[in-house]
Amino acid sequence: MSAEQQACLLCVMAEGFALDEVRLFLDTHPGEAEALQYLAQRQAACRAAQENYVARFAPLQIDDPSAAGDDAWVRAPWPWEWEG
Amino acid sequence: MWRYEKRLQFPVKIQTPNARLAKAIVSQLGGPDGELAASLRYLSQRYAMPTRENMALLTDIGTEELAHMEIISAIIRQLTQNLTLDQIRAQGFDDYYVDHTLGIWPQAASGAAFTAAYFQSKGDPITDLSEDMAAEQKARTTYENLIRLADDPDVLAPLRFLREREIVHYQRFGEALRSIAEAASSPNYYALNPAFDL
Repeated sequence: MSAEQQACLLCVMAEGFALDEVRLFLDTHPGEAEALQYLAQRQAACRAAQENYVARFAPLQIDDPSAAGDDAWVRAPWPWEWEG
Repeated sequence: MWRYEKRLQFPVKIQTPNARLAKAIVSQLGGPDGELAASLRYLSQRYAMPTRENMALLTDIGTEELAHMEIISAIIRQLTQNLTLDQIRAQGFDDYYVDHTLGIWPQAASGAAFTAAYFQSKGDPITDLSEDMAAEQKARTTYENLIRLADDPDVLAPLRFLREREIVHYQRFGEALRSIAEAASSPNYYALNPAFDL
């Protein structure tokens, strides 16, 4: 994986995590206004990061289209693969 | 249902093999206070919860624990993926290697196999949420023990992240338990099990 792809993926991971975190907060604080506002911002940012990554590099979910080819879901590196 | 996102929740990029450390870290995969126990505990308990807030919380945290299982498995895989036989012998990995080669299998650091006995799903929201708070604290302590054992910064980074998540989950479960207690109409809130008697 190129340094560029790694950096892009890190963006997706960071935005995805922020979204995970605010969703848990909203599970026990439903309807909390400031959290809902933050949720909307994070959803937009996460969607943008995902679309950017998928368009440029590889699918994140099985039904993502990929410029990298029909077999990109299988062929692109799996999350635990790392060669020092 | 579940969809899979082809990424980790937190990056794992380990340069240096260490089978001995992997054998300790495997406890957070298949051990008594590990991520598999956590995910099955929460995903099992959610069905009998009397409120949708609690169904949501248990589903969402249970799903996150599956992602944590994946992080732990990635750590173990990267610590062991290119081991030579000499390294296997020197790092005390022989007994695991015999049964699993370099495969990933859910066991405790002691070698004990994963079992459903590591968690409960009692069908009583006060009981279940109390169990969940205890589970998060046990996991936090386990991560702190692992953090003391490790000195590789590539391993410490994901371990510290996972420890912080336990603290946040504990906070959320505490809030859920408090809301169940407040919702109980009787001054003696053990008089009824809201998941059975109502």
